[in-house]
Amino acid sequence: MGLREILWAEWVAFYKDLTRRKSLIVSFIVYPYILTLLFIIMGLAVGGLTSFSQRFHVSAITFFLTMSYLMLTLLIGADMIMQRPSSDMWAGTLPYILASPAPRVLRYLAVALPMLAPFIVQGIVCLTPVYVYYYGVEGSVLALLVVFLSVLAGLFMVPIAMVIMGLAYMVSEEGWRIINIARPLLLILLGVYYPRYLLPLVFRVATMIIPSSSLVEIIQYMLINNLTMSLASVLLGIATASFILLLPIGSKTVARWEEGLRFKGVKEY
Amino acid sequence: MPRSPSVEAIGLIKRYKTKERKGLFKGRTIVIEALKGVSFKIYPGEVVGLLGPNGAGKTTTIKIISTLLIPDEGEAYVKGYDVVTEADMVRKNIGVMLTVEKGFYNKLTGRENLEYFAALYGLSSNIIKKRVQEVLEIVGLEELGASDRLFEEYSLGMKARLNLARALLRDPDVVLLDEPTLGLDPPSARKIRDLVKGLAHREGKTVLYTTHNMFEAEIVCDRIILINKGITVAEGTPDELKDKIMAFRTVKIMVKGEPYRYDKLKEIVGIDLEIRKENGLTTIMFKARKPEELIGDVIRVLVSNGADIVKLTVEEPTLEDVFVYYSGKG
Repeated sequence: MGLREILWAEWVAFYKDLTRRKSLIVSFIVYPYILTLLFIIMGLAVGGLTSFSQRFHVSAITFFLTMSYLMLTLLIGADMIMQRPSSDMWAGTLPYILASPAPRVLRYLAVALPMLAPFIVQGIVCLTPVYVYYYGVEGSVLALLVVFLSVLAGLFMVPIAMVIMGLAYMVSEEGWRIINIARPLLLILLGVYYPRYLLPLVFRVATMIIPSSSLVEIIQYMLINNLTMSLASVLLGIATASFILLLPIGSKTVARWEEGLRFKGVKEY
Repeated sequence: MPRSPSVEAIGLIKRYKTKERKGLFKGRTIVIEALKGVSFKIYPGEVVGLLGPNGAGKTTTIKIISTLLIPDEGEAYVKGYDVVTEADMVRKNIGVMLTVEKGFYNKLTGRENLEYFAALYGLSSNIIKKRVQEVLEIVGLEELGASDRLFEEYSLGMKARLNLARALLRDPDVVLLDEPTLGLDPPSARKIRDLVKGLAHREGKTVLYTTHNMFEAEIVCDRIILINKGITVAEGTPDELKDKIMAFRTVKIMVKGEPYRYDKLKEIVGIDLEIRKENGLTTIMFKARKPEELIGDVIRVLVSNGADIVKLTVEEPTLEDVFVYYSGKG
């Protein structure tokens, strides 16, 4: 059994479900704009658009639109994994999934990938016009790069999401409550709310264990036009290394959680 | 050469821990012993019923065999594979149906749900569509025109069929069904029963079937394992089980008019003789472990006194009698 079959299964399940829930499609389009508006309004309350640009050398609209999009991309893949046990418990599908011989790492990668695909379209639709306005025609290339890196960052969330999901459900049968606490914490550690290069070095290094954090940093450097090839290579290398390092840890955590379930018994609601 | 069992359970013990809450932080752990040593063997081509009252340990047993639960003590094997240490091999050889009404994604059709699980269960992409179509036809969803309807629109009977279809996706040698007809209307329940019998008797699959429906167990199962309060209390074919409890059979003889010589009849059958008169007919009833030893004498007495025998029936004990007997004993 390979990734192909499992990916196909998750792909079909996700898209059939998505196309039968029209409100989800609408939310895909409007979410980044709504979040941008929220951040801008909050920003205006404490300063102004100009003061943000002067301080961080990037337009607040560009920064927060990109970060809103990035936040959704980062969350969506991770959330699909972290919330999956809960939804499977409610649907009654969890025992059948546990009883399947599907390799878990492949399965969770397959869970995240179909969710990330529409974000390619969403990113192009949302970011390109704004980037072209602020950066000129070159902005379209920048938008494509940001979309690529954002989707990659979303995919790199898989192992950390597996770790959080496994631990949360090991601690409590209602692990989603713990996940609701972990989610905003994760966003703070990732640095999507603020420019990461402002972080003290020790925090910056410590948070690099989250693979996507380095990709967030690359995107932020790109926005302020301060990314060098060597810095990009180093950050991309760190992201890839931590992703590879965390995969077996994620797999083991999920295996431990499943083992625990096999001792306690799978709850059916 | 002795047959090797498809499923074997040896001394299964399972304890659940639950917490009794006292206030916000205080509480004590309570241990509930769901299984106290269940053992049995099931051979290829058999439908074996796991019978017991609520809380007897039927579902726990099925979950252990389907690798969803690890026993605290004891061992279980499916086709020789250990359910704990070789869980992946066991999973490749079994099909499981745990509940009737749930277990699928609401916004997917029956076919899409099956295709999803087929991929998850390791069927290669080039055979998934063909196999899904086959199982949809086997369970009759195709015939009902329900294959491409959303799961959320299914009736309970359709959901049960779809659950059974999933259990058959991998064409497994061993099928584990936990109360597959629970809550179904009679036609749907009959369809499921017919399918289950067909699986074992036509296709040679091993079926473990839990139920507390006595009628169903009697007509579906080749052999029955009775468990109560976590222990195996009896095992055998329905007839063997009835014989084991040495239950009384009820003899009813209907005669025209008024039979004579009740005293003589009482001498033969004992004090249990019961007489009912209705619409000019008299029914003589008595219970006996071996009625064949008494019926001849009773008829001779009746005939010699001019009685006209209209009907004679001997009612066998039901599986329910067996169930009640062992449930009480357990």
